[in-house]
Amino acid sequence: MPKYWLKYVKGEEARFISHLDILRAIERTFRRGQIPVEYTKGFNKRPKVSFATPLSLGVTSKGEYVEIALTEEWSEIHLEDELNKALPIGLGISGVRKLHGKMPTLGSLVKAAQYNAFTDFSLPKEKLVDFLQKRDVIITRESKRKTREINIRPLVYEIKQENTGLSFLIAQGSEQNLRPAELLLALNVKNFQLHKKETYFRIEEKLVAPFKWLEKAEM
Amino acid sequence: MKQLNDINYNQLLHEVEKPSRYTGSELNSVKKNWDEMNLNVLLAFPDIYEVAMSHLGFKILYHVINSQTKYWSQRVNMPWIDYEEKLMENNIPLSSLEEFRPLNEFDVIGFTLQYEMSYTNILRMLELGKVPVKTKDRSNQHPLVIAGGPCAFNPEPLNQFIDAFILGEGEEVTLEVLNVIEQGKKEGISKETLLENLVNVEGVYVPSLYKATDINGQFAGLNPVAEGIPTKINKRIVKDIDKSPFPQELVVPFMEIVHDRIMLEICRGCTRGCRFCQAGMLYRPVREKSMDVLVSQAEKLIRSTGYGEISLSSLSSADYSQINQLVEKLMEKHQQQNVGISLPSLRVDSFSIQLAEMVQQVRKTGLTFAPEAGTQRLRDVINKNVTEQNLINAVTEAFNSGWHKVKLYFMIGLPTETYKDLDGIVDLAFKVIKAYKDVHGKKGKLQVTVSTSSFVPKAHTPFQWLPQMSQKELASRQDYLKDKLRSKQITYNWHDTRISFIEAVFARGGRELSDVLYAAWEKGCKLDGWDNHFNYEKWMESFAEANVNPQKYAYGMWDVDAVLPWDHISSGVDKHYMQKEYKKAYKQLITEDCSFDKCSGCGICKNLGYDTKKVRRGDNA
Repeated sequence: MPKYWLKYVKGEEARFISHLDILRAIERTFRRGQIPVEYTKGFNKRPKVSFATPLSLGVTSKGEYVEIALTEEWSEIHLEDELNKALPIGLGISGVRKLHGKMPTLGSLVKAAQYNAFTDFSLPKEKLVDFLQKRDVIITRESKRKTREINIRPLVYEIKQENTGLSFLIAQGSEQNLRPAELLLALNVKNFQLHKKETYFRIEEKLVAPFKWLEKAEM
Repeated sequence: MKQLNDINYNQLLHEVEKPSRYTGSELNSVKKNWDEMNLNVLLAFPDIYEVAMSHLGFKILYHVINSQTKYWSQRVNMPWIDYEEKLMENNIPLSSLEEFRPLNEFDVIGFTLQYEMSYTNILRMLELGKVPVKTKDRSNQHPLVIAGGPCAFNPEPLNQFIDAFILGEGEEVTLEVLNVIEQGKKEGISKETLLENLVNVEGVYVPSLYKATDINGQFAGLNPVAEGIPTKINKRIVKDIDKSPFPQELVVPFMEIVHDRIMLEICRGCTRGCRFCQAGMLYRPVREKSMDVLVSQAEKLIRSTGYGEISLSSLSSADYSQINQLVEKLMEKHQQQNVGISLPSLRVDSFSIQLAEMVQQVRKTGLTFAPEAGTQRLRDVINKNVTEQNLINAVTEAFNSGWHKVKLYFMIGLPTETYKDLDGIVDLAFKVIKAYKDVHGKKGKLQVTVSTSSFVPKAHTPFQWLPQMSQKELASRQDYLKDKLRSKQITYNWHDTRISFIEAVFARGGRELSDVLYAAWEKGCKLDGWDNHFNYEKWMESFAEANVNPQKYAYGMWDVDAVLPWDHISSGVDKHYMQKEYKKAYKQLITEDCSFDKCSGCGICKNLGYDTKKVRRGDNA
């Protein structure tokens, strides 16, 4: 069965839709658009979809990825059009790539992401410079069972001030993961709105966008 | 207006639970241009989002109003505590889902009245939306506040707050009412004149145009203040349900709601005639949609919503005359798309193996049965015409077809109920377990949920004259059941007796109850239907302040000839019939369902110009 990577946008209207609810919305989209999606076997059948990374609540994005499998072959452009016709406001497909050959899961490929944080005040320049000059910035991360200290400085690859706020490239994925809110908290920024610009995979030392990665992988 | 991209508003949404309750933009929600509208209407559901969006009537009206190019209906719900607090802290008025428009800017606000315990939410929502809560404090500069739904059949507890009530089914009358309001707005008439114009629409009740009369200090009914105002207000119904507007594009929430599926109404009304059941009286006569219409509506709804489940809804789904064929047809058409079918409100007698097996092909949801009472004697009293054998047969068939979960609904505190009847409930529950054992040889996966609600006498039913059982007695009956229903397989749920008490007071309350409601709202009562927010002490203080004795309403044994607070409102069912049914209850005499047997003489056909026998088959157009 043919597999596809979809790049999608989570816009303003869908900002507060949880990851689980997005999954449900996409399932319904398949039915509305009469997309011949492959279902899992078994009692509680679900469409076969797997996401790159779950996006935090309240974050908009132009760089989300999901893999789906169809029961018949559709052209990339046809699939993109039909999905866009059926998607609710706030969600949209911005690119489709059919996979040739077996690929690792999207989730395992994610290494980094680029974000914008819009803030209602400007961060003093010294603060940012100060942050960048440090080798270690330790924060405490609480999970259900334990609290641990982590050094987030190596997880920040790039950070700069823009007129509307901050732009930063940080480690994301299953190996190393920095939550944007953790970074902003460390910078003492309280009121912000987050937007993810792109997800990145890695080829050797270089970070590349997923479709670019795919081109190289399929070469 | 607040916009979603406003950074502070955004921050606020980050701090509340389930923010998508407040953000709108759901699939199929309607956006229009506010300034181009002749009327801007706000449909208000006085409960939280998940509940509101699960209500079919609310969705139908949204569709009906929005089908008019010059009217725009937006939606609003009762916020949960956390969001409500944020609104107050930041001085943000409660606003619509569609474009964050505050309540006080609308021309009309229409509340739906589904249960008495949502009344304080109505006042709270008006307050949060900066609308004066009392009718007398609102002019034509404020929104006109109207209300409809089953509780409108006893409107008096809300008379100080609602400008006009709509009785019965809203599909047609809502637009007639809006037309009158539109005309009034165009002419710039006063609110008083507008209300006088509204009573000319059949089915509209304007409380300010009626006044209580008394004879020797005894309540003698509510009567018009002037000539030309109808003395009795008749409910409205839709004559041809096949042609009545049914939304082809239901709003699909992002978040999970209570009934997260397509609700396809297959039939309206139920003539089984359970004597406690208000819906059974209010929604008469029975009208079935034809198969063809249903099949085509189902197809369009799957296409427009993408839902993977259709619930065939009605008060008694298995009574639909072609239920097997309908299920078969829908399965055949939509199984491929992985669409499941569910049947709510099954009666144990009309359940068949065939139906069970067909429905479970795709998805096996839990089965719910409502025997209502534990013994045949008591089931005869309430006219719940099913037998123990019916139930055992039905669950046996279900267990054979692979079901492991059964819910049983009962009512306690019914008239004439004794502990023997409670033993009957226990007995039934254990017989269900035995039936499972007989099928599977062990009890392993079986889960039986037994739920009891407490009897609340409701207006326009044969039991409207009867008292509710005392809280103390209800609680000890619940304790009795808790003790007896101890089993690994059984989960027992019961209702807070204090909530049932307040519900009974308002279900039979007159005009003076609106003072109590006002006092309760002032004390901050809200979300009373939610156990953890219900505040009994505040309610008791409110009764005292308003000088109203609640026991008179909940526990009063009323004379069948007494004038009732809702006598000026007609459901189309004759009072005489209800008196007859009441008397038959005490003799344990059954009244047959007129859809399948002889006419029981309820008066609905005569009063509304129907022939139920024909209507049942959908050809009374």
